[in-house]
Amino acid sequence: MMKNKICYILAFITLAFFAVIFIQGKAHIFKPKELNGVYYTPKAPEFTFESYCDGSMQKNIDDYLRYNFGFREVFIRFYNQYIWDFYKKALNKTIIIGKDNWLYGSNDVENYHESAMYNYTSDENEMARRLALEAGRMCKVQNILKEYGIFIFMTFEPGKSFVFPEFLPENDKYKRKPFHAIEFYRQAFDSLNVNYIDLNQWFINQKGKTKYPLFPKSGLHWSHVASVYAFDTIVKYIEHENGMNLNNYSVVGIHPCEPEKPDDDIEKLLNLMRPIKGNVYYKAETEFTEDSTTVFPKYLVVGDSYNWNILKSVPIGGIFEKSPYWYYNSSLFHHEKYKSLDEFDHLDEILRYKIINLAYSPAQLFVFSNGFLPKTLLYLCHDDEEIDSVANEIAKTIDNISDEEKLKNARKTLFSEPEKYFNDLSTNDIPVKRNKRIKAIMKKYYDIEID
Amino acid sequence: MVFSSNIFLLYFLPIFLVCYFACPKKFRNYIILLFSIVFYGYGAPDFILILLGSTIANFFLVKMMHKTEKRTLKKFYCGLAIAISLGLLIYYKYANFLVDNINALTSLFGWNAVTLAKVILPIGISFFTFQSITYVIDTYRGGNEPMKRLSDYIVYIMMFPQLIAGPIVRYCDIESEIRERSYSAEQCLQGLFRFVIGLSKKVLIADVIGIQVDKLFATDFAVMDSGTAWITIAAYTMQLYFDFAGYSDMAIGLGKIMGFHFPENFDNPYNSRSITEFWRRWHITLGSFMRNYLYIPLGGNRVSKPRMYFNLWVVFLLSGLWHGASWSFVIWGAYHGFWLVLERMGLKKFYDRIGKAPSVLITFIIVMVGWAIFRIEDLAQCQIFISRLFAFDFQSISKIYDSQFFTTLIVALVFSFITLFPFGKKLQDTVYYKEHSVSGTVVAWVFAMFMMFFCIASINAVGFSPFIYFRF
Repeated sequence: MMKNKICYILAFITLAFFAVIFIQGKAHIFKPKELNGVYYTPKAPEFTFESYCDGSMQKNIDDYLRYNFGFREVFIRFYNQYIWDFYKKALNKTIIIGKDNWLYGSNDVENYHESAMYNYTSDENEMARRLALEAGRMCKVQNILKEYGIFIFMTFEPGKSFVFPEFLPENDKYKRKPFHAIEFYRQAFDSLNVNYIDLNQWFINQKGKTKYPLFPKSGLHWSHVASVYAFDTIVKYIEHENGMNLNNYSVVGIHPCEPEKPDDDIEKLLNLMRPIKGNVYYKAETEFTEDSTTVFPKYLVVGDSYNWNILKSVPIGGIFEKSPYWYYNSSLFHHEKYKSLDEFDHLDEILRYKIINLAYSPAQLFVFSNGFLPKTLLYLCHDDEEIDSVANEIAKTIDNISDEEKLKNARKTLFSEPEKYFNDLSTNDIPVKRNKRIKAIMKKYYDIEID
Repeated sequence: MVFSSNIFLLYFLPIFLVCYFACPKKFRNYIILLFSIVFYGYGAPDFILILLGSTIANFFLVKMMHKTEKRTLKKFYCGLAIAISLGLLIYYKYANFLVDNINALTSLFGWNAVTLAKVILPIGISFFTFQSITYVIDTYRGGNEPMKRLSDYIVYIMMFPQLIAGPIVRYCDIESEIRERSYSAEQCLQGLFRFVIGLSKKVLIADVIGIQVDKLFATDFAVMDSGTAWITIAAYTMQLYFDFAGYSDMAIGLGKIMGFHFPENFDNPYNSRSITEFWRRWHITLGSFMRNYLYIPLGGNRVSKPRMYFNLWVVFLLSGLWHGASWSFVIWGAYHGFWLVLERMGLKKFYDRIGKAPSVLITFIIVMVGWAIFRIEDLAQCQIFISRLFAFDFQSISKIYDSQFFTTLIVALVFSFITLFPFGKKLQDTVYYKEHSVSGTVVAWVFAMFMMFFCIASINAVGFSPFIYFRF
């Protein structure tokens, strides 16, 4: 009798367990810690007879329910914690777990052992052609911008796998031929006299000389402290190359702190229930050196995510008058706000800055500039009307989409490789023609008359 | 809809259970019927009407068969009912295979190829076809009365727990429970335990091993060392067993919750001392179907030895073909038939002489090699893989850097062989069959709920791989 009663109660609790999951899924009464990372969340499926018959509705329902049920975050974190604790394993394919709990990004590791090239092409010659083209563009843009007193340079940011290969897991799965863009660019930039600063090598040289971590064990990017020192090196480089005196800062203290984004970005991506033990994070305290002769130029960074640490750790507002960040040359980040770069007049924007820094880490060098250089070169050397006319011609060759989409795609095609459409850009010489708007822009920003 | 999915575990099953138990007993078959139609209609919308149509046709044909006194007419109805079921199976499962083979033959003579639009295989057709055949033949043989109500018959054929992957429930085994069955909270909990054990076998063992197995089978066999080849095939052997046995456990558990007692489908098959014994322990309900409805009608053991061997071989050839429309399945069936015949010819005596452990090991190796034939469709590749197994080239097995895979594989191996030992048998009896005390029930329930949580977590965590940052 007693057993029967207990069985009834347990059966009832079992159903209640499912009811709680169901109610939470609908009402979100509890607020469990959200899952980290960027992922696609399926929309609620539409119910139509056609989609039911062809099975797409069922597939959509299954997808939708994988992402929308009560306490999903708890379930996923629980399992991730289990496989981390028991097997030191991550389900996330973008994470590589190294020795002594060092975490790496898969793209970074793949680039170290083989090449990130294989994400784009497996043809080494084709990639060499693309990189050479980009190096040539950099050289041309550097020389043209120099005519207007603008200093553009490249920063090779450090790759965690390059700096700390000793903690990478033993693995023999990487068998393809290595091809490192950083080596290619170093040689090309040296021969073309392109301005660059190699922080990857600088970090390798600093290894063992500093008592604070250059990279956090659980993060993809350089540590906050390292980024403070790295940026000081960048500032010194700008001063040296331009003969200008920027406001200098010095580190007056370093103290342990709670991890701050992106210190533990890979660990966060593990989506565990509790943080990994034993990781220590540091923050550097900086102070400006008083100097009445300093200048405050406008500074633009176009690059990958390494710049986030600089924005967080360095008092950059005290060095430059304006310092926006063109994240992957796609969205503009300034004063805590994002804007799409499509909203801006490209030529007008770049001519505002005295210093432009293209900053990419080794794995991202295969998409170096994300289209910034070809677009800039095109706008510097050809009038807007010419560019529009060629874009319209390209649009005519595109079928089956709206006129607006055609033109958008045509501009994308043109900006990706303008050398195909403008002969003067395809030679190794610095193009002589200039966009006629440059004059007006230079007058507007610098009050300079140009012939 | 598979059992190890969110839609089934978090929505379909709880809603079904609430409706089922909230409903008066006399209407519960209708609830099963309704939910089974939804269950099948969700996964195979194109086929639900054909399934219902063939089931209804069979019901009336069997009714007419039972009514008529004329022997020839009885035979005709019986034959027609079987033809409908088998016809659907042959068309949906084997039409493409037959056409491919006919075309391969005709191309030799330069004749035109036969064209047939790709026929999609409806889920579960192999299982419900066999169930309808048992109904027709058992009634024809006079073993049981036909169903009075059409709805009860559809419940028998379409009951969602065993509709997709068995066990193949003979009509005579379940007839009385379809009409009337008893319920108790304790039985429900026992069903829940069994369901969760099955779900854990599938999700926490088979699926985990399966990820690595797929990777291993995708590698180039020509350069595979023997160690890796043996790990690959051992892992696949475990994956297949825990997947299929897990599904059967879930079906049996769900049946128990609903008041049914489905037959067992697996009995530690890898502990078998011969292939003959293996087939008494592996997919038991298919084995018994083949024995009762094919082997015995062909003459069984009462014929001459050569004929018996031939019959055995034919049964296993067809059994292989039942598993899938491909030559690799036929060869797999023939391979098992070959060993069975060999055992009847004297190998069995050899096994008896060498003792338990060696015979279990030899049988296990034979079964594993069989699974290689089962898995690798390309016969040339299969040959290479088997040659790697026996190349004795043990240079490196450390190419698989997945501790979860190895741990799970070891756990799977331990659970597969544990009942060879008395304590393992005792453990199995306690978990599966023994009635628990009050405290035992509570402990088992807590464990079951934890495992349920674990399984839901695994189902949803695997495959969730967000990016670190948005990429442009």
